[in-house]
Amino acid sequence: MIKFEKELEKFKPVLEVNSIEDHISNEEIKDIIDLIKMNQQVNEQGN
Amino acid sequence: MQVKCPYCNHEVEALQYCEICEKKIDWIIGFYEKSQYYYNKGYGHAAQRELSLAIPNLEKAIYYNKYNIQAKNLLGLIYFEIGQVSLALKSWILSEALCKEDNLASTYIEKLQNHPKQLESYKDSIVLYNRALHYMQKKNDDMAIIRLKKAIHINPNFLEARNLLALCYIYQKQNHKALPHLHYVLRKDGSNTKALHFLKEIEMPQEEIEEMSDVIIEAPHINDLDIMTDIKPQKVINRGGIFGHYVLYFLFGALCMFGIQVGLITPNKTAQLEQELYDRTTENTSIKVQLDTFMQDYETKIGKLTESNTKLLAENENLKQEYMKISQESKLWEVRMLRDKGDMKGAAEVLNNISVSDLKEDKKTLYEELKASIYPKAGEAFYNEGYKLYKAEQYIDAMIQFEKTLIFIPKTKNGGNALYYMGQIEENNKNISKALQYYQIVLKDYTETLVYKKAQERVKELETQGSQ
Repeated sequence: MIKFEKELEKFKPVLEVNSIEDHISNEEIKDIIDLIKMNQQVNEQGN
Repeated sequence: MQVKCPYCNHEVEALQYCEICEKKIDWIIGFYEKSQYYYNKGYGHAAQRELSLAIPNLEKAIYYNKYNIQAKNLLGLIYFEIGQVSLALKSWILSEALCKEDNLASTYIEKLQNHPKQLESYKDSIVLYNRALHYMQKKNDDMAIIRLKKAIHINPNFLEARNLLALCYIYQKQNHKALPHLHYVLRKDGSNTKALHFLKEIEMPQEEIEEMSDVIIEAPHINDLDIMTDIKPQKVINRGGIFGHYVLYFLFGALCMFGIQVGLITPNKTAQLEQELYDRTTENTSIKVQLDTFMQDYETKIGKLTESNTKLLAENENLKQEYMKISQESKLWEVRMLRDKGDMKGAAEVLNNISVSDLKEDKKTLYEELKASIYPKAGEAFYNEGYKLYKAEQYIDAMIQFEKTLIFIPKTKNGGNALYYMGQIEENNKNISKALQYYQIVLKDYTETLVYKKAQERVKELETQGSQ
């Protein structure tokens, strides 16, 4: 049986076109390589 | 394989050490390979129209290598295909930021920018979807349905909106309305989990699912689904039995209407028409009275005008007579002037032209006095002039003078002479009959004059010549 509230929670608001610019500027473009590099830098600084 | 050195950001060969900064970069090669692996997996799902499965794989590909432009572009394309235009634009913009040259993302962005109206409509569909979701969270499903329908109308590929609309219909127990949307979603995205889940629930209740828990449930193959033929009406209503009742009700209603028409509407209409006729007749009578009054007034005015006209004519006549009298009186003054000057002939001619009847009584007396004093003198003058002209053989002018002589001094000696000489002139002109006429007058009225004998002789001679 479909539980309405439970199914409805799966639906999230969609990013609006006007908000793309803000979303990109607020989001840091990082991948795992950046994370590892940051980790290395932290380790180097620690050493 | 080309990699981007994480230390100096240069494009270098995938070696153990960077060619530029000489730092160890072999550890990133694994991540690049993993990124490529997930990209290929995502691409495979996308090719099979399993877009929901392709998205997480592509996101992983980007997670392992943010410079995987192909993964970003494909992800954007998939988002565009499922109607999430803003996420598609975001992917392409990020892709373009990382690699500006020879990048398909630039082409995609340019295409969207060249169709601003279309972009605007995509924007509107997203706004409508978000509003609908808000209404749904407040349990206002009717308002949500209106907005979702509009969003889908603007952007038919907006799969999330279709899923939400299907959920609304399922909530309203209108599963048959949800089915077409779910089928559409699965046609575009065969692995869409929400659509698959809803479809399973609609087509197979939970109890049956629990009983069949050991059985592998496969989602229906998209190509086999035919939206038009799979939709069947839920129930058929047999109206045959009550049709006869409807006919009877109709006939009864028609009979009642006929009764109302005859009993109420028609008499009312007749009364209205009679009233109108009465009003028109009254109006007609009133107009006739007005017309008669007008005619009477008119005739009265005509009579007055005619009377006035008659008076004016009489007055005019009087004035004319007055004028005539005055003008004749003025001629009397002219006669006096000419007489005083010594122009008896001119005075006599003017006097002769006066209309005696137009003169007042006292002026008539004056007229007679003037006539008595002027005529003889004028007559003598005319005769003398005529005689001169006769002697000068100017017979025509002489004739005129002799005629004037006869006007002013008829029955006198010179009058007789004038007649005789006129006869002589006619004789000279070979007008014998005319000459005889003049001689006869002399013989008749001027017996005591000297010219009597001469006229007698002339008559005898002319008659003798005539008989010969």
